Amino acid sequence: MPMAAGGSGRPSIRAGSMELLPTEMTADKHRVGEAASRRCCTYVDEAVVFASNSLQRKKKGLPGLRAAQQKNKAPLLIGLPQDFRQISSIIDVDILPETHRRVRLHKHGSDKPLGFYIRDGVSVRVTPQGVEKLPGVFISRLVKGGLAESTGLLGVNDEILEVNGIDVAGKSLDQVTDMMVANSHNLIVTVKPANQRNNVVRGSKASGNSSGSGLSQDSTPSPASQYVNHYGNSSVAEGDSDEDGDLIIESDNLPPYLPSGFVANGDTPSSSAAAAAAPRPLAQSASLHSGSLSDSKASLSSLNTPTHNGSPSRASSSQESMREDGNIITL
Amino acid sequence: MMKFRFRRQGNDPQRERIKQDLFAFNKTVQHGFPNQPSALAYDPKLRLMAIGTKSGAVKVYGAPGVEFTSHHKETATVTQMHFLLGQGRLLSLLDDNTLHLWEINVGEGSPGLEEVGSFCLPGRPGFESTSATRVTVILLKRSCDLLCLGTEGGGVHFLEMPTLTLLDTQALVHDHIMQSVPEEYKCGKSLGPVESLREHPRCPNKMLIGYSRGLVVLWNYSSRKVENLFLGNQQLESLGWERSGKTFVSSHSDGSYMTWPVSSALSTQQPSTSVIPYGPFPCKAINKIVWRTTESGAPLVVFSGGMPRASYGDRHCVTVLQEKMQVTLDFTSRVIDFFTIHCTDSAAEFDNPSALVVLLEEELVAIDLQTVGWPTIPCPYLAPLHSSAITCSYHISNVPPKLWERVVAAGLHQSPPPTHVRWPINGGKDLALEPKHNGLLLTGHEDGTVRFWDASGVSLKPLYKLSTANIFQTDCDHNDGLMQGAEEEWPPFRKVGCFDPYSDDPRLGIQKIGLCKYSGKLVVAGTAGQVLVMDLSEEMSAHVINIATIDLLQDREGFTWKGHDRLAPKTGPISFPPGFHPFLLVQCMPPAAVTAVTLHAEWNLVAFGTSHGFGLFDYHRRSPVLARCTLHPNDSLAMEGPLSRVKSLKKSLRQSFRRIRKSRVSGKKRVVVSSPTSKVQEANAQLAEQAGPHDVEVTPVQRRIEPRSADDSLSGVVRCLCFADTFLRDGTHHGPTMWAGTNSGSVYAYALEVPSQEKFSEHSVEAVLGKEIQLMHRAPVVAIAVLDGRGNPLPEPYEVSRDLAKAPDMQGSHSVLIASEEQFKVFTLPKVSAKTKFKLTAHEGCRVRKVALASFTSVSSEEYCENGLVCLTNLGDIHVFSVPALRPQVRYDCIRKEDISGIASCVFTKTGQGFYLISPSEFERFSLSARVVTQPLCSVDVDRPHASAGLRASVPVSLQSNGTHRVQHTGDVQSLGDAEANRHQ
Repeated sequence: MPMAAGGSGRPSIRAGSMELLPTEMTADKHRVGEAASRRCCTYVDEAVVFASNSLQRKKKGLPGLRAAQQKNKAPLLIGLPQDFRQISSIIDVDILPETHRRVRLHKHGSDKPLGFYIRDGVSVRVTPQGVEKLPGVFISRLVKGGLAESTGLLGVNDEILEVNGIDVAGKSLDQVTDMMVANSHNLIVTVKPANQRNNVVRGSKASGNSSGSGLSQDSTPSPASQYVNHYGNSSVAEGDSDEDGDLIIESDNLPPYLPSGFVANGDTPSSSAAAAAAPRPLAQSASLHSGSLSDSKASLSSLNTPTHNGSPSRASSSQESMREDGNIITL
Repeated sequence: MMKFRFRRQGNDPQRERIKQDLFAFNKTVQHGFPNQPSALAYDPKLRLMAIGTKSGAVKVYGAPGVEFTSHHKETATVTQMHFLLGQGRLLSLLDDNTLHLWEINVGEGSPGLEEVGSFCLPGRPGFESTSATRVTVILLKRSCDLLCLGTEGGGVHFLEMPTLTLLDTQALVHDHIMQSVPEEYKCGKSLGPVESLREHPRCPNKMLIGYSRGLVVLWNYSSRKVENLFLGNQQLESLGWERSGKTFVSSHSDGSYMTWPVSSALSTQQPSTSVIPYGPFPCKAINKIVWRTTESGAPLVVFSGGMPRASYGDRHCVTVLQEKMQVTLDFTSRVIDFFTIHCTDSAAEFDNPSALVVLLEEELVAIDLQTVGWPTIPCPYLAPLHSSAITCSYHISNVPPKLWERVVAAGLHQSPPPTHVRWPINGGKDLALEPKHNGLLLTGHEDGTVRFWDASGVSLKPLYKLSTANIFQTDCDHNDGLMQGAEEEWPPFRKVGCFDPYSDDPRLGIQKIGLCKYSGKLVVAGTAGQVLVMDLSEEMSAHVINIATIDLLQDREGFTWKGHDRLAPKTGPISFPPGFHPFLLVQCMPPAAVTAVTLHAEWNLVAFGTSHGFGLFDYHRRSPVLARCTLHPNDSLAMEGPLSRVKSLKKSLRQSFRRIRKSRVSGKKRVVVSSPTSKVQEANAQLAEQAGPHDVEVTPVQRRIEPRSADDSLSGVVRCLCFADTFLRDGTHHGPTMWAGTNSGSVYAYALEVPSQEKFSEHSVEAVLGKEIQLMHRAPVVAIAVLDGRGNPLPEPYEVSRDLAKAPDMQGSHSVLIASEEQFKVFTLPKVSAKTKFKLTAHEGCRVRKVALASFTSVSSEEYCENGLVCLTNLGDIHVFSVPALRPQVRYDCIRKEDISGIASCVFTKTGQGFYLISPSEFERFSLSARVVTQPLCSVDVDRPHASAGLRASVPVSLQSNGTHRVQHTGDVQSLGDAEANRHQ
């Protein structure tokens, strides 16, 4: 699988205030241990399958990250930045309580499963009235080799508090499941980790960093409770609102009776949906078109694969027709 | 983004006011037959009938349109019901041994049924066990001031009515009777429970008390003395007086009935006659018997049961007997109870019964006893919707009078109404005005029939029944003749009722219906891929149906259909009575169930889809236009069909019968069982809380979080189809288009070349693929609709050309609304780009089950009207969104989320009402519109000598029968100044 970190993805990551970026390195399996900061080393402990989990504490946005990687590159034989693909990030560290963690999972349109299970459970909360036991939703299991497990950011028995900015309190297990599946291409879950030892300790540098960040301004300080109103504004969830660009193929003038598969040519760069993954709360209207262009290409490619498998001969013929008559319109 | 700003608008007071004028949620009326009836009562004075059910519902019916529904607070079976004659009061006994008094609320113009009192017979500590005080039988005296309760322990207790005060000192205990019983009859045994209590027809102080063991006592209430003893020695089932009070009749568990003379002697040993009508072999018990005198001489005897145990023990029969005339009414479901409608005037000499009303488990049957041959009287309500299981439903709002008349005429031809017999239960007055618009509800059934119902008003009336089975060759055709020949002369059975749950062939089942209300063209599609196009005709006709086969797989290879065969059509001309005549049969190959169908009568096109693809057919030229496979190459399940693991069709049929029966049973239990399970869950949750989080993990209910992938099974299922005259290719030329949406989030848009009317026979229709949209989130596409330049839905075919609707705005740019299970999106046309969207699942965690576009008219102004997207989710709640802005307007809880068949059966009307099945036999009607509400509005003249002002305060009003919402009463009607039930705009 080609691991192209989409160029358009980078600026959008910059928009995030401060991010801890576990990065999956599939091209070569060397450790990037030096790059990981001290307080992030705890995540390496949690990582199970991927020995090469690299935890970056980003201060200056992604260009900084890139620079850091390049610095390390020569002695450690780390692959080029384009060989890295962001698979998850911790976001909004500055606005969440230290006991909570907001994790974004990047699926990149791959077939790799998100890979976790949730269950009902009882959550103990301290309220002004005393200790209260409330129904909650918890992670019950991680699928071996799944995305969730490979991030090391989600663990069994972590309580799910929000899905894409929407409070899950009062929602049934099936509702939470549906919300997660519906947001699966850009899933942001806020959890209260069962293991509270590895929490990010909010340093003065980190909190200072939040100024000038579009995301943290957009988000409001208290994480849950504010989204109780269903139809209210929910900043994080809407950050990705232009992301699910649908694929539209116009195929005018095709003769009737010809079943024309919506197969595009194979040159379309695949897996460049990194752009999709990041919120662009401020520059949304401006970057709308270019951003979603890459999205739909990504979806196109994912669509592509099975069609090729099924009827290769037809695929090539309709590729022809696509070049002639069709043009891909994206949103 | 703009959207965020709009969403915060929620608190704009002006908008809130408009919303209140537009939207209001009410569950208004229930159509159909009550599920699992368990008790029946009749008030001859008010001519009202009451039915109680196993779930505790109480329904009172009078003249068509007069109905009251309520529900006991307890979900317990109603075992008996009795009217307080003429008072509009009803007494019910539940199987938890509680008595409840109901009152028809006639004041203030708001009809309703209220519980005004309840009573539970107290057990006597140290004297009788609780089962001894279990009420077995109730006698409400004609004067309505005294209630007698017979108990399991053999005692009779007396209550003052209507206050339900126990007259403690009056109680008649077992021993009191035993004193008068001769020694040789006692044999040291008890008399058993009280089985029957009957008031003497002439002397109100006397009553018959029948004990289970067989002893019958004539007891004088005022002197508290035993007047007569009738020493029966057969186990007693029921008692009935003859009108004069000189004789009475008793029925027994051995299938016999006996007549006893009431003489002056203290004890009578032998009955005057004793008959076992279906003897001499052992018979089942006669559960109930009535004896009615007639002017013509011979008395009329009606009894239920008593059939020969071995040969007909499984039949559900009521026998009507008069001298030499005897008919054994043979029903398809269990007999619950029956009553006769006869003269109750005490001055009259004879009973002269005019009708017999039998309540069965699945239907209500009325027999005309005055007409020779005792024919049945068609019921104007309580239609057995489920006479064959409902497989789909379809509603047409605002039916033009022309089509209405033709459908009614076709129905009359099918079952000419008896000219002189009126419906005998005709109490109360229906105050609702004639509905201004006719609504037609079409139900598709498992046996291949489509039934047309008049859904304009409160009572759902059958109009016409269309059968599609007769155009196919089915196994069961030739069996009918044999069955009838095998029937013996004795007993003189007569099949009565229309409840017939057994389907000839499951492939006949109707899946989808479409009707053009202006042209009368109907398309009906079924389980075996059959698509029938029909035309409405007033003439009888015998013709050959055009048959076409469309291969929806096209040339896809590597797939084999392992499901059922297609239906074999009959060859040669088939004759049809006046009504809908099929003229074209399109059979999809492979013959999978049709999942979507639509019709455009102006273009003469019908489009249909299955799990494999969709097709377009020109029914004027009888030629296929388009076939398109939507299968995903990885999807193997779709190919095998639903019956793939079944070897023979016969076996498959048997299995499907079993399935039907099973689903029927589970469907019934649904209502009752679900609440205990939720209680269990609650209890579990509590336990879990007490035990702490560790114990919760013992039984983890897990849900896997996986994004949908392209190779989900059945991704190729065509979920919706729609025709529209819009801009697909460029912004200047509009033309006919067809849209199809699939389970995997694909939308196909075809531009159609439809020749003008004059050239229709010369040119053929052509379809060119214009656009394909793959929704990123891949959720099933539930509905597609095209909106005009002003954002209004396009009118239906013919509406513009016949000046019935405003022409759509063709100047502004059109847009297409695509509703998937997860999101609603509006795209611009012709360049498809997203305009607005609402991600329901991502926000709420619920999935879209049904959507419809409806227009909502304001209550305060007929002028003001808004379009809304009505959406029912898998949680059973209903959301309304504005169109095309897709802003959430209102949300109501409607159906319980566990009620999957209720959610699946929901249909919406164009004016913001809806129907869903609350049981296999009942539709609940609800309204989302504040203006269009169809609910009963009626009055009953009652005569209540005993004011019950003191009673009223004690019991809170409970006026609901199903679901969570209390029916809002007509308070808002009055504020409008007119008492009009059908407030159509």
